[in-house]
Amino acid sequence: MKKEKLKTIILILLIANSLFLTNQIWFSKELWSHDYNFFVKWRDWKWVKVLSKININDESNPITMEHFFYPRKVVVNNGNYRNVYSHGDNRFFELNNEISSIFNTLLKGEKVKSEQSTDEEWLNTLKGKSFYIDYGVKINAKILARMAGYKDSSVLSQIDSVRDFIVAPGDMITNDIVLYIKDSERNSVIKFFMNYDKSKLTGIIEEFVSNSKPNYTFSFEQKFDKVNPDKKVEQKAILDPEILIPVKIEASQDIRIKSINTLNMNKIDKILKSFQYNPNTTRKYTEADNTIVYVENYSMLKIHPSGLIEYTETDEGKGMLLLPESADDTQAVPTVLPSEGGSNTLSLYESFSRVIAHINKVWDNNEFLFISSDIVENANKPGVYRFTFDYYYNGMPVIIQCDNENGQQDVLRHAIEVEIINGRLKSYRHYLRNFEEVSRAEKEIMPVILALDNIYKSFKPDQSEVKIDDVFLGFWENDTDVILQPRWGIRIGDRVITDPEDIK
Amino acid sequence: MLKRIVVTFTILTVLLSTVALAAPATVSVDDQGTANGLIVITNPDISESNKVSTTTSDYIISGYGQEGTDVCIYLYNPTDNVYKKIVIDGKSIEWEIGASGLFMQTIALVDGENKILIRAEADSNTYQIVKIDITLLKEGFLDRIKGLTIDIVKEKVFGIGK
Repeated sequence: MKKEKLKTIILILLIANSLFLTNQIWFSKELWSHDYNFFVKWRDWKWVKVLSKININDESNPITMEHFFYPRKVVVNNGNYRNVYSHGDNRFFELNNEISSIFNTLLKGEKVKSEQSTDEEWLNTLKGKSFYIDYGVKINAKILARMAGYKDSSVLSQIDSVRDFIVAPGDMITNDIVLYIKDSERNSVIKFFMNYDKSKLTGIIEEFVSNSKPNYTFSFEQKFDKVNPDKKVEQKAILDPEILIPVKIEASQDIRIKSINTLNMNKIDKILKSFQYNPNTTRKYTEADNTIVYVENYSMLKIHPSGLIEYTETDEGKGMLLLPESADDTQAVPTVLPSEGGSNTLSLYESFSRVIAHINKVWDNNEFLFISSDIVENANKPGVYRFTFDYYYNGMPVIIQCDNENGQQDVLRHAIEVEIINGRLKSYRHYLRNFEEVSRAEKEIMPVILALDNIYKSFKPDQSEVKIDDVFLGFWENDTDVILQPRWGIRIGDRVITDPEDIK
Repeated sequence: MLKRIVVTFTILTVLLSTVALAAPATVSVDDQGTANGLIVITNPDISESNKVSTTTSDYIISGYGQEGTDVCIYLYNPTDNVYKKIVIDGKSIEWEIGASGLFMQTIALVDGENKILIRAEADSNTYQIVKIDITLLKEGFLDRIKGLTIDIVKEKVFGIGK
């Protein structure tokens, strides 16, 4: 009797085990060979697509063009204290809407007067009641106006590109408020006077400043941007005037990369289709490090196990033609390049919008992506553009530093790097990433001056005097760390350096 | 015996190094320092006068200097007629300048005049003294000045008001 009971238990366990493993093979791992993968094919059926749209677990977050024109940070100053808002802060969008409304009033151009201003006036305005809006990159002024809904605004015609601007209540005598826009191409400052409810503007400023102690100072306020003529003491670091330095010790959460196992066959098929590859007929092989290589349409596509995808054209000028956002994947590839104004070159706006549409086709969860290269015309080669994007979490960039190919070590890469020539994709690199907080607890970060000391010591500059273009807090991803901790970094030209010691 | 000598030597070394690094607790009002090229104060701007005024009670003192220089901030004590170390939460404001050369420290001011002394020391015989008088204006003082200015402008330019 006892033996019979034991047999029954073992049998039940075996049946349960087989059911579990079958479930794993069929529904979770999808381990069938690709060409016969029922689970890939059935998702392409129309009724399944309809059903999947009402799937509440769908994490799809396509990005819109507007997403890339949010300011990197907004500094609100009530004359005594400052608050800094960036994407990820609770009230960022509320504040951004207020500023957009002011900017739109300017673009309308009604009762707007302008005059040339100076760098000195620009910096003095930053000391008083004001909003400082920083996009982090140079943006073509026409595109900025177009994104605000003014395709032919004449107000910004005297400006080439905008990186940052200031809104200030102006003097106390007239009713005009003042907008200072710095033309980053021409290196000049234009001052616009416009009619706007001044008391409303002052009210918004007060509403968004909640500090009663100084917590940020601009580098120019500490004269860290000036070269002192008195050479008795060696001045090693010269900071860009608009670098915002925290007075208090900053705190932030650690983050980690969500599992890349989500790159299942279904998603790989989606990636292949986004590059106009046919998943069923494309030639493919697997490299020693499990990188899958696909070859088709005069191009090569590599999907690395680390979540990096690389596309390169193999024949010059025959790369994939990027389609407008409205075009469907199934639409026939146009043989004649559509363009604005009838010329053969694709405009900056069209090129950028097609790149965004393509990114959305490749990967559907891009809420942390932000532009990190300038969106400006290429005067030397019209129609040729290189755009880079980086991941940002709570307003802080995630710097990818894990590329060790070809014997190179610690090469900094952007989350996405795209080269496009007249609408044709020359190359495309994309680190597929999603991030999440490790815990809600915030950790204190090393004071910025101490971090600058460590960074300066580590990179051993050629000359003693170094001009630092930016000082920022970021997350640094490398081959070894699973948890990404916030650390200080500096930017000198295109070079980005972090604190190697990471002492807390 | 040898063990005792080693222990004594170690303790003495530690004590002496601490004493050598620590800035003096007080600085005489007449002390002018022995050197002049260790630090440069960039904020406040004291290139023309060492008297400045502000409306912000938390004041930032910043500048740059030679790497390895020890810096300490003092506040004048009228009772003893000496400058004493500023102590916040039991800690004095002193630090060593790092590789970037930059420094930035916040001090809390009291209403009225605050006589500040910054002492930068390369070694016990080489030190620089910088004295700054910071006047903290009461809140609203600046607003009264602004209001007065506007009234004058309105009256003179626009013929409004008084």
